[in-house]
Amino acid sequence: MRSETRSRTRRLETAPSEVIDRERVIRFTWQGRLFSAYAGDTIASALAAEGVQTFSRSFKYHRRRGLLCVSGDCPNCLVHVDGEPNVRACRTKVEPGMRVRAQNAWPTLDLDVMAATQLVGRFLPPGFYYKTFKRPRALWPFYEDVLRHAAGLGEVDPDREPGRFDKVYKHADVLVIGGGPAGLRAALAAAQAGAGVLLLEEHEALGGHLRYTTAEVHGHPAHDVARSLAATLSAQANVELMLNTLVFGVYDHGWFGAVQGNRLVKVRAGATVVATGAYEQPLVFENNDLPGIMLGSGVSRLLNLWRVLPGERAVVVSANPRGLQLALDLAQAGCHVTVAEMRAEPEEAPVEALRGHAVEILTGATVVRASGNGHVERVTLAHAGGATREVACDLLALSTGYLPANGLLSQAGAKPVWDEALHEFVPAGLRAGMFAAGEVAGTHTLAEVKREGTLAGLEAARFAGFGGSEADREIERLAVEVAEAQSRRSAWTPGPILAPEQKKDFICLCEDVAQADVRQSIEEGYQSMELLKRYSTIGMGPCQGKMCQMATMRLCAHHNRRPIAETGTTTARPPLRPVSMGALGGRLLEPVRYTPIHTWHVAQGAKMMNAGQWKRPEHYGDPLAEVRAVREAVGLIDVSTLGKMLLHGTQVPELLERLYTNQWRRLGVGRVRYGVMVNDEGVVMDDGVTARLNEHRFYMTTTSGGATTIYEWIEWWLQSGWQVDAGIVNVTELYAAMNLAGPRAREVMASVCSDADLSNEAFPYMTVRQATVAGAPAILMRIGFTGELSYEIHVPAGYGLHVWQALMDAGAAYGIRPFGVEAQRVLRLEKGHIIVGQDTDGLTNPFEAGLGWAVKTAKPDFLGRRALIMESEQGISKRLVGFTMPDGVLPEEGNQIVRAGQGPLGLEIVGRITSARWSPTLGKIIGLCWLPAEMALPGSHFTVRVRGKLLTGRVVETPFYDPEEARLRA
Amino acid sequence: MKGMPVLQSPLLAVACGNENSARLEDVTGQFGLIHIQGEGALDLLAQASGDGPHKPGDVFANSSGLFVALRPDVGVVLASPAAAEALSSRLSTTAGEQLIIVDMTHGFGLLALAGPSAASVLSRLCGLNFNARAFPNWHAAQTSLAKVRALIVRADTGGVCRYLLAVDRSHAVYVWETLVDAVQEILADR
Repeated sequence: MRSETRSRTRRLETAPSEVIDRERVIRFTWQGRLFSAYAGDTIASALAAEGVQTFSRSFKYHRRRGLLCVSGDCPNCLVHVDGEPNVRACRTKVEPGMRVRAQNAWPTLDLDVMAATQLVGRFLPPGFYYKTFKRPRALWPFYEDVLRHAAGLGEVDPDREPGRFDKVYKHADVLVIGGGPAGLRAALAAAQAGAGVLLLEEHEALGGHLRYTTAEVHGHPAHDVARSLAATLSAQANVELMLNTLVFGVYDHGWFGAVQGNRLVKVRAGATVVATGAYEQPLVFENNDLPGIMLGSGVSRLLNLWRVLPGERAVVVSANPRGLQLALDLAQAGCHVTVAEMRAEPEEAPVEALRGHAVEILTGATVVRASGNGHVERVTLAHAGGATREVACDLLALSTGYLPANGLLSQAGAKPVWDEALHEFVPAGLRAGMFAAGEVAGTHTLAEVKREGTLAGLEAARFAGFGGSEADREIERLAVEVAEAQSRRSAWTPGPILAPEQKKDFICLCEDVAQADVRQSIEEGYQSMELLKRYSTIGMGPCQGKMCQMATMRLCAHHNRRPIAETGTTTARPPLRPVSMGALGGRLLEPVRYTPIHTWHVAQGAKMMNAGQWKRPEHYGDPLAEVRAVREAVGLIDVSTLGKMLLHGTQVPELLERLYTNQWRRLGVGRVRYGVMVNDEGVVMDDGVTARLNEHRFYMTTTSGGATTIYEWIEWWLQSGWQVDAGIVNVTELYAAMNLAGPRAREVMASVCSDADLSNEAFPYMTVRQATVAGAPAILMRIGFTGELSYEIHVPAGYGLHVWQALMDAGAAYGIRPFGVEAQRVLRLEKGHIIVGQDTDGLTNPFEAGLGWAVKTAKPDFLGRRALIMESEQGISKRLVGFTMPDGVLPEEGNQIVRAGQGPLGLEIVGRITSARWSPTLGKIIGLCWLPAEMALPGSHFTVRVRGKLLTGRVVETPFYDPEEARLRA
Repeated sequence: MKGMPVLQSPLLAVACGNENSARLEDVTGQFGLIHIQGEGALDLLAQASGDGPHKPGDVFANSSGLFVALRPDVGVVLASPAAAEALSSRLSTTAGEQLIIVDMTHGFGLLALAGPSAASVLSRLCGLNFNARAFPNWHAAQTSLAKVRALIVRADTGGVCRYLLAVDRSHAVYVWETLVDAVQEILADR
């Protein structure tokens, strides 16, 4: 194996097109060794300048791979940078101290033991993993372990900081995708027509291929023309430019997804111009993956942007004018060049210029083989007549054809149609408001590209509502010219691009799929492009078909003996290019809700917990003491999280009759009633109370988690033709709510509320009053979840903290304690109250949950009535019941209740624990659980699996505490 | 027994950013918010304001406050807290039984985001088009801002772009922190 050593620098003298700052030298490491770069260098250009040729190892055979496209389209330069895998070296700028290493190679890049797989390549045909690892079945875990280590690209460093990601929305009248000559012209034309333009360019600068060609445009260097055009565009006030921004997907309703570094950009536009250009395509021949074999555009980029000469003896295989221009550039840079021109009659001017540099030109010739030890050292050129010739070289540049970058157009529904004259697909059936221009539409000559760009820009602006009669005339004129020019286009991809089948002639560089693999797949019956892709994995790697689609289609067409037009392409789907999960996630947005009393809780050292989006105090240090305070004196809990609805209208009772399962017509002013809501299937959705504040105004509370759902549920029914005179306003946020509970609650209330008669006779259980509490207007309800004398106090949220503090101050003399969610859970469990969502699930009906008393099927109608009648007729198969644990072990919520049966260990799961706590009031463990109806009789015993042990529980009646309700009605 | 308490803003900070780019301010105490719902809500708004708004998304401003049409049957009024209370009573009297009038002042945190980059800040957290043509001065929308419900009203002052952001009171701290983060990013980008 050849070991790479650092050779003399391949950096050329300065040139106007270069993008590096030679005054600023940057140090970084590659494979642990120190390298230098100039500011503006990419990792790839810096390493290429220092003579590095092997950048990675291939996926399957671990063959050496070097730079190919230098534009981020191929898989060859994926490296590991500072802990991040799969970074494209050719698109990533060098930064000081950057640590870069190769991936997918062990123990070293130069000596990779997995390269031995090449020796057994013939035993690894397409789909070998489907065929090989099926038997013996018991060995699959071993196979899987080995395969998982062998497969994949790069390794994620779990200790690496995930980075900061962002998301931004953009809107434009006209979106232009691509900042090459066509895109620039389109953006300028649309802007001049008055449209607001957003131009997204994948690379770091505008200009496309004009940036890295030495060709001249009307006597000016192309890169100067590109800069001038970009400057003109930047000066337009109605144009926004975003560089380094890759558009990766088109989605419904005109959304485009793009990424700019770690930022996700979601764009919506009135019209779109797609000017994404084309991907240069490699040829297929033996050893076509050797380092030193590059696409012509890749060589041009290295040469003109970073001034790196990637070889000293070059063979350029050309099929279009850009290939000849490249040969000229190389010759002018001092490289010994041989040209294999695939066309019999290339353009005269460049040929003359090349002969002026003593460049040998072989017309009607192509490359059929390459060889070399770790790097291309010689190639075999073949004439159309069959004669071959070997040429020594260290660089093979392929300028032989293009694949339109039409992925976005296809995602948007356009159909790629094969143009036999062009030997390319051209887009057809573009959706309204989407326009294509330039190389993506099969046009490669600059003058025509510019004309198409202008036309597309004007048409897009007109679609978005900009322009005028002058623009319309210009559109008409350009449309005629473009149509005429398109009828005269000739092929830039003449083919053939496939040499006769040989060893190691790779079509898919991502997955190491060779011609023979494709042929074999087709012979096995995978004849369509879609099946071929799935079976052979061709086009499924990092390049997503950009380097292989054209060759695969040609080969597929050849073996199927069908024209390419009938062979077709695979389906384009987003993302067009790999996008990091972090970028897709965008900015981390996790809404958090705080009650108006939150700061007090925190100041008191409460342990806060998440309850959905809410932050609630779980306890203030001693939840059992909090329970005792409520039972023996008085406690105060923040229940601001409850859903709160204001219902208004002359027919609110009728509305409530339809929403709740129980009766509401006779609810008097000042009364409160508990209700259960079920859905159409009779499943419990929510529970809560509703108070009648006056004749036409009602105040409803829901569970904390159900607030939004219930509001939307009621609003939906109100807007669905119920024709009841009632409206709903969600006032959850308007009120702070707190519950003052305990035998001394009335005394505390009396010290902060002087305008209401708080006596049990005047203000009994399940009634509501509007009064003033600590100076704030309040809705007071004699209700509670704890089983004690309770006042639920609702005050405007901005007064919440003040009222809370006033209650705490007033309660100090009575031993008041704040209590949190944990104490409340114990207190409600002692009282046998259920929590919808914890003790119920998505199948629970009220009868099963012990809420049958709240279901009045005799009512004319209510939501879920029909289902509940059917349920009651069928009988109840399971019940939510109370239980205790005689042996004193506390089960966990979710523990399974089992009995002897057919399941694992001879046990059958028949129920589960939904709530369980130690009750300090009762001195025992209590809880709620689901049991089959036949096991749910009080006094029955059941078996519960607790941390692997089988324990016995006993069914008991609920409520566990104060069944006569004497305390809460006191 | 204590006197009438003072309305407390849900926010602890007052302002961040700067006028040259984007400045975020807590203006909760400067506005009351009245919710009007039911058939004829927009007519009542027009009657109370003396003119508009006439269609959802419109904002009509006069010395009494900002009158905002949200739906054909829903509107809000943003006015000073003292004026809001009086206005709420007056509207309730005028409206009769057909409309629900609720003084929602306590239910919202109200933020003001102003400056030439204000729209850019919002575009990081909200999918609406804040382009001047699509969201001009005196325009409003109910939308999702940083994944929570928000009412956004454009109310420029002195020629400077300014958005009033009314969010649920419980979300106000979260939205504030998220906006501060976005404002600081904008400042850093500049």
